[in-house]
Amino acid sequence: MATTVQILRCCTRGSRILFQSALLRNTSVGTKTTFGTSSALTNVFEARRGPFTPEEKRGKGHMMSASTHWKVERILMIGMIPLMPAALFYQSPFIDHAICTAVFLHGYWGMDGVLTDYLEKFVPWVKPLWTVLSIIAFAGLVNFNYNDVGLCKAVQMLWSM
Amino acid sequence: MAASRSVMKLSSAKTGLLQLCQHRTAQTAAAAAPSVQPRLKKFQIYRWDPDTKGAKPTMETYEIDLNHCGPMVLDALIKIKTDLDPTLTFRRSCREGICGSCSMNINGTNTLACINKIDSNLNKGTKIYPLPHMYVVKDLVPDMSNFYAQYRSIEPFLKKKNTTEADVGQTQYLQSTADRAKLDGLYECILCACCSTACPSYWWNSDKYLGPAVLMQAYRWMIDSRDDFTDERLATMEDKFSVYRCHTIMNCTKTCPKGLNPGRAIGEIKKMLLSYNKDVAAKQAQA
Ligand code: SF4
Ligand code: SF4
Ligand code: FES
Repeated sequence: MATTVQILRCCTRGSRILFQSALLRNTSVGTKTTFGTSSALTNVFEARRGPFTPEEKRGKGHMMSASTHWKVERILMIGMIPLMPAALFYQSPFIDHAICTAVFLHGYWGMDGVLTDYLEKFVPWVKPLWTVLSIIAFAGLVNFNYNDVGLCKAVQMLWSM
Repeated sequence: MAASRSVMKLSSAKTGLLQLCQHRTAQTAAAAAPSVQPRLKKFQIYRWDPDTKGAKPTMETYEIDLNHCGPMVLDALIKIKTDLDPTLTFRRSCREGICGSCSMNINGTNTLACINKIDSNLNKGTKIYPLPHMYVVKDLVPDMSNFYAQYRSIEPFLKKKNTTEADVGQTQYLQSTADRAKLDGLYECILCACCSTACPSYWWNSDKYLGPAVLMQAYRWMIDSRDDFTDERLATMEDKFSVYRCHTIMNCTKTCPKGLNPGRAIGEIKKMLLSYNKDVAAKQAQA
């Protein structure tokens, strides 16, 4: 119990910053002038408000540009439309792996977007954590496809239970 | 337009004129119907005074007689300011929906007070807040600096290649009727920020996400046939925040008091980003 609380405490480091600045905002409605008197912690949060330069927003070390990424995401989404019913009628290791990869990527990017929207700016390390978790999950799925009945068959068995 | 958005103070001459007008209306009204029932309506207005140290925002209720008030919410605000409480602070200039100063949240919708009719249901009060998720300067006046800085960042002006200072003003940049028609529905934006401050993505990420108002203007310059920097303009959008925080929630289009469609413009930018000259983006990243 105590450990859980500890972990939760760690996880909410970012949201605590948010909470504290929200408190301050309640008393001052967030005028920038009154923030000068607030704690160093809230000043860090305050300093993160934009506008940011294009370079800062772009970040470094991307595999592809944002627009290419968006394109790939859309293609994947459209590709999933025929893939899903196909798996109903035709099962093979290839379909297993294809469904696995598509659903995984779709979910990974979807959640990634949610984290970017709501959490990343308060808890910067949440993205690497999500990537690590996803890789482990994906490895598990691939392992399941190779060494067990495979994803499609598993879903089928689940429904016939 | 931006310059005219100073915190409103009614000059005494204007107050006099206003009272005269109201007096006249009252006289005519009295002549037409001798015993007019007062139509009292409550307005609950967000108040916050930056000059009182530690003061918290409050809701203040004012009651005015709609028989002696113009039809729009801005008329009510002006009446409250002149008759009841001169400390009430809000922006306004044109009172005809063209300057974009009087944007605020009225009964839960971001809109322009000057073109928003007072709800005639006397049993229900009208609630007025500043634009949501903005820093408040005072009462209904939000801090627009970030919004304007973002607008400046998209370079909202015509940019030409291979021209020098000497070429300026020598010839007209002509445009076909069809090309000009593409700007309809875009150039009418008055930068009131109703759409941006209605956008959940903007609430969360206004530091990095440009928001519907600014993006629609970015699009307006991208598709202007006279502008030579379309690819460069698109290249500035190459990050996961500037455009891609838009999730097509369409609050922006729903709320726009001018009936424009910023949500569509963002969709068009995303489409243009699919097939533009990326070399420019690469060059820019190096530079
Ligand atoms: S698009 Fe509409 S709501 Fe948005 S700033 Fe322009 S006029 Fe205002
Ligand atoms: S369509 Fe995009 S810009 Fe408009 S409200 Fe939705 S997320 Fe915001
Ligand atoms: S006063 Fe100009 S838009 Fe309302």
